[in-house]
This record gives sequence, C-alpha cells and structure tokens, in this order.
Amino acid sequence: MSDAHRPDRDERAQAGEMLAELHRLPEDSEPRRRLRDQLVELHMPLVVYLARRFTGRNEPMNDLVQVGAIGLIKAIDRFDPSRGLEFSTYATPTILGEIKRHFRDTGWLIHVPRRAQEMQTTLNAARADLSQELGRAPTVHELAERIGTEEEVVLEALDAARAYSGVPLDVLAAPGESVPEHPMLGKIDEGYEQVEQRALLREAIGRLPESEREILLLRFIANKTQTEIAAIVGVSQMQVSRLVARGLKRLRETLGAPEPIVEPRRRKS
Amino acid sequence: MTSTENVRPDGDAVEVRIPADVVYVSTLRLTAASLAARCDLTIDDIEDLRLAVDEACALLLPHAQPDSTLEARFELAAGRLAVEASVQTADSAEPDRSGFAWTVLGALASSVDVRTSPNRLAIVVTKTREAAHS
Repeated sequence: MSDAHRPDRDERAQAGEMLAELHRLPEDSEPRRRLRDQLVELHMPLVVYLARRFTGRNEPMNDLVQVGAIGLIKAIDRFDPSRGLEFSTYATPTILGEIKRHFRDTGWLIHVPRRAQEMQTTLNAARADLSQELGRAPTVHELAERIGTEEEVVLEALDAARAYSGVPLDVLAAPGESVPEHPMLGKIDEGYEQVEQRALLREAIGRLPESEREILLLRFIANKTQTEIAAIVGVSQMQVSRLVARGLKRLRETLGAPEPIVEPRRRKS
Repeated sequence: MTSTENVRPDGDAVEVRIPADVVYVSTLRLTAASLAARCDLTIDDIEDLRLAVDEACALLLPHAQPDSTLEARFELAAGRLAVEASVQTADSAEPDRSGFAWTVLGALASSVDVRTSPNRLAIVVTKTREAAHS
C-alpha cells in the first residue's frame, strides 16, 4: 500500500519545465511529440499506481495501465502551466476518469447492474460447485478465491443478489395453501410486475413433482438449510442440493427466466 | 430494505474502530461506500471516496502505534459525507505529502484536512456530491 514512488523535487521541477516547453511548441511538431513521450514516461509510475487500485476486478493490469496512459496523454495535452497547479494533481482525475470510463464501457464498473448480473452468474456457479465439494456453504474467502477476485467484490455481489431476489417468500405457497407463518417473511411488495410473477410462479410450483416441491418449500419458505432438510426428509444433503437445483431449474424453464434464481439469504425485515 | 428510504441522514454519525492494519482497510472502504449511498452520493463519488479512504489509510498507517486502533468517524448529510480517520502516534506526526497517496487523495476528495495533536494524527476527507456535467 505504501509502495508509492516518490517523484522528487528535481523531477517535479523538470516535469514543470518540460510541460511549459511543450505548450510553447507548435502542435504536431516533432520536438513536441518527443517531449510528450518523455513526459508520459516520467509519469507512468503515477498511472501504474492508480491502475493498481482497480485490480482484483478481473481486468488485466496491462489493460488498465494502457487506458490510464490515454488519460495521462490527455492531461499532458490539456494542462495549462500558467495556472500554477501541480501537474500530478491535475492529471490524477483525468487518468482515473479514463480508467472508470473503461470499466463503464466494458460493463465492469462495480455498481452497474450489468456487472452485478455477470458477477451473479459466475458467483452462483461457484457457489453451487463449492457447496457440492465442501458439503456446506462456501465462505466469502473461498468464493473469492474460486472466482479469482477480491472478497470485497464478492461481498458486494452478494449484496446485489439480495437486491435482485425481490420476489417475496410467500409466492412459493402452492395454490390453495395458506401462507405459512414465518418470522423471516418480509413485507409483500405490491408491484404489478411482482403480482404477475407471483401468479406465474404459483402455477409453476403447482406443477413441480412432489419431492422437489416439498424441498423447495422447506428451503425457501421455512428457510431451512440443506442439511436441516436432509434430516427432515431423510435423504442426504447431496440429494437435497440436487433436488433444489433441479426444482429451481424446472421453475426457471417454466417461467422462461434467463437469470438463475438466487437462493434467498435470511432476510432482515 | 433499500438505501432510498426517505430519511434525511443529516446529523447522523457512525463510528468504526478497526485494528490499525492494512487488512482491515477494506472494512472501512465498504462502510464508506455504504454510508455514501445513504448520503445519496453518485456512484462516481462513491468510487472516488473508496479510493480516498484507501489513500488516507495509506498515509495514516505508517504512523500508527503497534497494536493500536484506527478510528473513523463518518458524519452524514444529504449530498455530503465526511470521514475523520485517525491513529495514535508516538509523537506528533505529519502525513507524507510528497508521495502519490497525498496527490491522489487531494484529487479525489472534495476537501482534505489534516489535524495533528501530540499523540494523534487525523485526516478528514470530505466528499460532496458532484455537480451535474453540463
């Protein structure tokens, strides 16, 4: 974290003079181009420093440095030496802006839903695999390691998953059944779309084979863990896991839902 | 359940104490991001603030006493979040203003303030919601 390259005073003074010189030279002149190359080289450590801040998001470091370098070049061209601002202070937002834009354009800016959705898919696959392998739910650390990202990114994605699994739990009650009393049940959101989804889902659940339906109800309404369900139903946890997956898959197919349905996390209400 | 409940955060404050160790900085970043969302900062502001928190910690941690804590106090307001992060120091200490961390912090935060006392070094980072680009 504190591996900051320190531009010493001479270097800064030198950069200042070079920038002043550069802006005196005519555009597209050879000396100006050469000077610009030197300035780029001189400030590349700043670009690398900033780019490193964004690693761990599945973007290769080289790409980030290249994108950052574009920002650096823009900053060099636009810098106005007469304003008396330190060049690195001026260049930092421009370089960061370019890196952020790259994330936005490629859909990888962490808060953009598309990014979250892509992450969801990866996360769900890793979650299912690891649950199988470990015989329990994976930790954040294990998930991060499997996906090759940082724990923070996984935590955020889990947060996003909570936001996306907006279907209330009671939708899973079969037709004619009353809604089970459960402390984990949240308030029902009366959005039209959800009402529609709920009707479709209710129908789809009604068509599930008995075993899958029972296990899904235990998992999602009673909010039991797979291990608890295994004990109740008298099958192995592996089988529960398989039945949950198969049941969800069937629901997804029936509903034509492209996104995997995320198992709800315990809700705070 | 969402962060857009119609409660203005003005005057609310959140305090977090973490071991003065790099591995806990991510906890602070996440807290900052979550609170910044409450203050209705834009996602770009939040991204800036996360990085700024990183840089502030990078400046503070070298001065922290062994096995001490880093204290962070977040003051919330609509459109503004201020973080005062501080560590216990041996003597009066100054953050290193010659490295990239300082430059980047200055470029990312809306304002930066350093407070030194005989045994404490504090950096106050404020992020105010960006104005719309015209």
